Amino acid sequence: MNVLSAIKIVCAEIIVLLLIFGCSALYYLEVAALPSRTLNLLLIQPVFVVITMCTFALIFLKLRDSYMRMHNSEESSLTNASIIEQASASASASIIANTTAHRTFVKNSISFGICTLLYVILLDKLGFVLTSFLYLSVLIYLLGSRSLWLTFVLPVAVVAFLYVTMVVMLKFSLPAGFLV
Amino acid sequence: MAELSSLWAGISLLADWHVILMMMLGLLFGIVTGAIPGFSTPLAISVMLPITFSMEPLGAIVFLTCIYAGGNFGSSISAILINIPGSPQAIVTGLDGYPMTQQGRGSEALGLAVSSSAVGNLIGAIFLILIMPLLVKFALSFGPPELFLVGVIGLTVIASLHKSFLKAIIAGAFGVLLGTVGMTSAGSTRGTLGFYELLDGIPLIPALIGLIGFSELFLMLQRTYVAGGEASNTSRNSGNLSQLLVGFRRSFRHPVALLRSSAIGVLIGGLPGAGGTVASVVSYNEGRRFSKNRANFGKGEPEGVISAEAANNASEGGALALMLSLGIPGGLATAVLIGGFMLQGLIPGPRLFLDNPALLYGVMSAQIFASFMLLLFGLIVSFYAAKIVKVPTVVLIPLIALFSIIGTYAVKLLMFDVYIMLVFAVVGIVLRKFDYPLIAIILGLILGPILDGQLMRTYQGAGELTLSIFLDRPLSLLLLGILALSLLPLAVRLTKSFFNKRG
Repeated sequence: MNVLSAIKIVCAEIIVLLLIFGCSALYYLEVAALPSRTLNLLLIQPVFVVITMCTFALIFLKLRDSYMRMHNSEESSLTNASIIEQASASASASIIANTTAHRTFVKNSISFGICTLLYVILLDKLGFVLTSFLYLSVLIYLLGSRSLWLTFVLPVAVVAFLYVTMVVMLKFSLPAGFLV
Repeated sequence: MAELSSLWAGISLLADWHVILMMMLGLLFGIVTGAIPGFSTPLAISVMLPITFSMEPLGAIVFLTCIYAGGNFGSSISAILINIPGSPQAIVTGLDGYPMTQQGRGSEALGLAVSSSAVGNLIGAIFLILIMPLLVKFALSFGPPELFLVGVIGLTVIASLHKSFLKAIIAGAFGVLLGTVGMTSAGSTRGTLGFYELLDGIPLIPALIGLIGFSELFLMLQRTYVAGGEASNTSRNSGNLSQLLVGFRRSFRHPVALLRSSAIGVLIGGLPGAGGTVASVVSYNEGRRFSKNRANFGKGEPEGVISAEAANNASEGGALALMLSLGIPGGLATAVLIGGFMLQGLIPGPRLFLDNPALLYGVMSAQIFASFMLLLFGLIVSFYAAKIVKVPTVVLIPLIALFSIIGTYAVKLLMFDVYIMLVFAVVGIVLRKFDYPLIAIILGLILGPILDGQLMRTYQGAGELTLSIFLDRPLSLLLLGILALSLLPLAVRLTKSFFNKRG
């Protein structure tokens, strides 16, 4: 269990590293294809070289570390089986406690991400007033509040406040929809 | 005595009710948001950043720096009352503050925090005003190669303080690449992916709000249930005015501790990547070493609160000195402040001191006045502190998200900026999750265009780019020396781990 999650973490680390490296490489290739090559690459080439070197050094270190950890954990599991048993018993208890917390976090993150994305997409189609109200109200509900004050009165007050200060007083033209 | 006259000009600029009001509002907002668990100071500044767009320059910048000052104190409130630091810089405040709360002396600890924060802030501000002319004189003699080296030094200092040197370097280099996106002075277009909005480069303000502000909401989501249970037992500690005042006066009985902690705070605050958190940790450890009540540290010792709080507020002076003189952000808070300057069409750096000395001296002397206001507002907010600490994050997250989105949109009335903000929010979340220092990528993003421009100019001037450009100038030689020094901690760490493995 422990080794597995450690491997997962290392994999994720390497994926992130490769993502950063990939973006940089694409950018480098694009710039290198431009007409005045030396001038454009003055800064970008050395920076790209640094990124490349650091990326591969880090990947190497991560792989070596995880290899050594796996090696060690195998050894210790052979020698102190009883300690491992105790530890895993207490660990599984804490994992259960952790997973419920983790599940709420994942659920909250997903609802936050989706709501925000929808809000931004709909903002200039439905207008600022309606979408902002819906965003606040739905998101507060999804994050776990069931009180009418927080899910209805607060969003109305906030949107009204923003509308008065931003649109009426400061004359910002926020996206308008069919409502206001 | 050009400095004195501009100092005076700066102070007289502050005698405007609008500016004073902005200072008060900023402080109040900083303290209150600081007291809310999980609401960090950089986040507080970034939420308010777009609003300053419509203000006049001095009011806007003073507003933001006062949020910074207020936040540095405010974060200690939740650390003291519920042992959850409002932001990381208050972690060690809780070590002694929370035990005091458990002993029923919570208000006294708050009082201690108020007065030592204010003193720390004051000393930081005085230091800032004294050191600034010297720093600027030094920085003005910098040419392109020196500026390049200063940027590299900033990055290596951040990297050698960070847990993973390589990750910090990757983040910084990646930031530099992002900073070079857009149309160059030579007329070629790089990496815009076809978006004409990116011709001017990646818009910095939305990127900052996304990286620093929005991505932090995810951290808050994680904390909603952590803060849940413990907030209930604080009510008996709230609003004890006489106790507050006892603590308030008490910290003045430790002048040595106050001075030492503030000095540590200022010096460490000036290091890029260190900031208030490292400053307060170091100061707390030094405080314990020098104190007569050493054994009582960690069990509710007033001197512990003093050394933590004075240092973390004084660090603002050091951080501002670095940011104003060289235009380099040392931490997330100063990075957002740079965004605040840019919104006003000002670029922080030595040139700004030549062009607009009164404004900068106004900003710096505002910190002195803010210290005195902090005494008053700190006491008032501390009195009602127990209520603020209980503000549920469930409500805060949607509110901050809404303000950030609308604010980002309102600056240029472009939906494109909002998309950029969200993209950088995702980048920020990933970088935080995998422990890349955010400040490194931001430093790269800010320095990228400068470095690129300077290198091109040097190249076009000399016709070629050789190492002698750096070696022929005494100043850049000096900076190369500092660069080597900044790598020293890393070398020590590497050799240590090497020998540990062997032994």
